[in-house]
Amino acid sequence: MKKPDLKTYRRTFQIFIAVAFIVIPILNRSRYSMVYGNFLSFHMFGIPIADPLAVLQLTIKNVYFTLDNFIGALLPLLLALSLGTVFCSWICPYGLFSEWTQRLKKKLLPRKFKGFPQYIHGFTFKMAVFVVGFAGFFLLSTTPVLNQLSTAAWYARFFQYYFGQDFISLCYLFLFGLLFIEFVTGKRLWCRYICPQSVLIILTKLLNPKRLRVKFAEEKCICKPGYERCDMACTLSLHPKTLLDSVETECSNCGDCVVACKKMGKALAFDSFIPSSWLPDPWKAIKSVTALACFTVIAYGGYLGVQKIDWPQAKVNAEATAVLTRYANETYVLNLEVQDPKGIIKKVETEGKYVGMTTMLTNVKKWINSPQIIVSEGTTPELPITTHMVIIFHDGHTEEVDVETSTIFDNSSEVFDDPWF
Amino acid sequence: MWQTSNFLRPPGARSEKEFLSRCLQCGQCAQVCIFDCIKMRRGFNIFMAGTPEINPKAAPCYLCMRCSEICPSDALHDVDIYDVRMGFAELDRKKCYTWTEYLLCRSCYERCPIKWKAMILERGDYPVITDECAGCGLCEHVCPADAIVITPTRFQKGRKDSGEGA
Repeated sequence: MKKPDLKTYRRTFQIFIAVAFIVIPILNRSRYSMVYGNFLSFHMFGIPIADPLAVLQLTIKNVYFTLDNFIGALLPLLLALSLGTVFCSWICPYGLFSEWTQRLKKKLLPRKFKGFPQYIHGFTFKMAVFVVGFAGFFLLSTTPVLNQLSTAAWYARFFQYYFGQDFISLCYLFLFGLLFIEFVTGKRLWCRYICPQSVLIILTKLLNPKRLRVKFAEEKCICKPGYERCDMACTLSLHPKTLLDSVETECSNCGDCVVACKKMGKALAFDSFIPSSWLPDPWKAIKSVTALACFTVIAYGGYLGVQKIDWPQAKVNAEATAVLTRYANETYVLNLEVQDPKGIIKKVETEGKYVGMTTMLTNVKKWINSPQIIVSEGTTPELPITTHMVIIFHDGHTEEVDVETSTIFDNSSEVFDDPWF
Repeated sequence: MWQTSNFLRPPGARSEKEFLSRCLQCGQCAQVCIFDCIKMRRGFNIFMAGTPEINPKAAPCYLCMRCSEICPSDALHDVDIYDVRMGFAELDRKKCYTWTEYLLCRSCYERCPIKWKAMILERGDYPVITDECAGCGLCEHVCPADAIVITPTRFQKGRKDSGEGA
């Protein structure tokens, strides 16, 4: 079997993350709660992960942070410190859709491609936007409003709204609008020039001069100038060959240029403080991760069965009965009963020839009429006695039933004692 | 798209201003709520969108306290259910079936999670809501006569929120 290249791994992982945030709300809806949250804050089997910018906003406004948030923000920052901004290229679902938009543009309009012009100061612009936004937040707001600019969070939140509360959030218009603008202009506008969430992780990665980065060996390069494979492959339209420090801050270590260069001169390669022998073989890593995932699913399968709480759905028909009892002196007493063991009924209204009170009472398990209905004294009533019931459920729907007396209990040795009086 | 401004915050929420400054809008409380009563707020208000809300008319809080337990940023303070002050229930005695002597209804009392503390039965029959009321909204949800209305704590002056201090 041909060993997949780095780009295949990356794309698979991106799609896995994008699908995971669709599946997680569905799992939560069916009461599986070991994984929950969105890109602002996330819990996975008790491990917290949080957006560093969101945590920074909370910390600045409250001068206080929780351990949960501290660890949550630390994990992505440590990732950025060692591997650069791999969040943007390996995890962020907006990055995935943005890359697909650019690929679509290239496929639909291939002739117009004449090499990319170089936009060096993407990070400077992004930093300026970030400073203005953060100053606005600091002066005007107490809520973490910059969270609303997180496209990844909006992606996850759309499915939280959709599967959690059956509501189609209009945020998809925002996301599609951005993607459309990026399609028309043909540039990764949001990721390179605006996204405020990426600023903190970029600043963190700059602290480590020996982080993972793409290095260029000039003597190995065999591409014709102007037709570089790496330039075409770069997802952020940077020039991988000329990655100076000002441009390298923008590089998200996606590795597409390295993959493209492998077919040519192998001039581009990853370089990091971690020896390459220490890095896990991707194929082995994926196999072990799959095994671990299978184990987790099986292990939590039983737990899931325990955790699942079967909350009543008000879709079953109500069980209503009417029982006529005969007491001494030819006294006939009618008892109405509606079974409601899970407490899903809000109100029961009754109507009939002998029914005086229109509303029934509950002891949470069943609904009865109180006081009991004395149908007749001294004479035998005309049978059957039909009672019309309107049962109103908590979820809003109503059911109408006509209940007929089916049996008569003979209790004629006792004198009827009405507890109401 | 209809939604009310008279919503409750989940149990253990701090005062409204402090709550908003701490809420990460991550929606985890809505996802762990087994009763599906916590909803994420909708709308175009960027300060409020994504924060949790409870509408007791649609689905009341059962005070299971899962949400305040998992809140990562402590916007929902992990408190005992006796200290929860989400709102205050008011009983309209002119509508209540028992108070109007229409019939003997104990729907609210049977379901109150803080029975005999938040709601007591005067003379054994007549429901009275005391100051211990957590404001979960269960009684409003079940009242067949619509006699009970919950007012969120943030609209009440002089009533303390739950979770004083950090």
